[in-house]
Amino acid sequence: MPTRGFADRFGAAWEAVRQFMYGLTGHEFARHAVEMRHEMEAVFMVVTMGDLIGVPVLPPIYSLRLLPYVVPEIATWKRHMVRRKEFWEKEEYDMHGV
Amino acid sequence: MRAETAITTSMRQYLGGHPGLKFFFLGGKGGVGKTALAGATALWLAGEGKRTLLASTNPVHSLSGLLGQNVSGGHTAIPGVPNLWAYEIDTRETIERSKKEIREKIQWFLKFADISTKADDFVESATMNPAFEESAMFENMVELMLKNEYEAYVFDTAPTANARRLLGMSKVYSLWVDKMLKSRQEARTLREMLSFTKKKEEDPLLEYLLQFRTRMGQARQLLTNAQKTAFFFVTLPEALPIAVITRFIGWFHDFGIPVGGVVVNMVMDRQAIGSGVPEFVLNRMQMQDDHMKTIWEKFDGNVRAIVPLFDQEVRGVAMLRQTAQALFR
Repeated sequence: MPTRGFADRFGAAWEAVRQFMYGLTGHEFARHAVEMRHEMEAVFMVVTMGDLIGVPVLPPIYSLRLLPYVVPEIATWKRHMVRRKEFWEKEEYDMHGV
Repeated sequence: MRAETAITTSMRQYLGGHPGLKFFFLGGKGGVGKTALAGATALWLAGEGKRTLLASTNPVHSLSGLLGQNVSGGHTAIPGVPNLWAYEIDTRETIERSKKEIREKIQWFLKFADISTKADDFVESATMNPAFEESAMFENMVELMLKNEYEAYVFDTAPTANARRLLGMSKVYSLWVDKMLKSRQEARTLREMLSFTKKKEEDPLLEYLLQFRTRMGQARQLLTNAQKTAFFFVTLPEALPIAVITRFIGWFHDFGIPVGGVVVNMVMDRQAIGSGVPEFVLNRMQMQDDHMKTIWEKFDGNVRAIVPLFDQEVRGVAMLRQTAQALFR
């Protein structure tokens, strides 16, 4: 069985350290950023297409122009908007990626 | 069939045939004398003993100019005319109110949907809709109509295209609110199905939408009831205003808004002019005569009054009385 070279072993160890450091520092930020983006998109949809889920926002004229771009997301967004978070899913109980 | 060349049902006769008429709208192309004739109609109704409100839904108001007093602050009594109040509807306050309402509703909804991200800028952008002015005017008009504080309401509307949008709004709004209600109810059912704890929740949005639908329904009922509402078109004996109202009468039929008839304004009276008339005036009269032929043909049986061109502009109560006499001859 061929033994792994120093370079290989060093590479694997470095990768492990890199991932460890990312998990320790960057992961939470990245996850948080994704969550924020998701929420911002949801808010944007509420503000422009709110009437699709019964929020009386007068549809602005540009909502028609945006429609083709948001069509694929409407179903997911609608589901997201109706799903109630149970208490263990609330922000204060969130383990943030742990 | 030969067209009539005389009024078959005058304004007075039309009112006699519709004793319950309460909401009078006057519309037409810009500059045809909608405000003056609205003022004359209101004055006449007040003279009949009806508590009357003359209201302007035209964003560019001219009632204060017509009456020579400021009527923009609220329902203002007109001195010397019992039973008559005038009011230029101010949309600024309503726009601010509805902006605030929308902001609150969105904030409530975001909380409801468990979205904690601060998104004030987005929410603010939802309150910058160019259609706000129009819908605020409609809301104000409906509020006046539903409050029912007067026995007669005369609305001086904006030039026809706007007026048509304004009145058609009850239909557009009804369709919109129905769609929203359906989505809201679906969302509620789905939310309960997806919920683990099956907790029942209050839904102020649903209540608001239900209330909104009821109001629109009531407004629509009033606006489409031919015993209560009539839209009168004002025209001049000139080609453009005639063409405009011909088109718009069709649109009003589509929205189900009852058309009361056509009033021809500023017609030169041969007898009043006398002899020795300059050619300029003769030519102008000839032009009016030609257009009058078209009017009799097009609006056969629907011409309610011919109001002459006076030697002074119609302003102030005295001139309005004179106009009202011609209108309700």
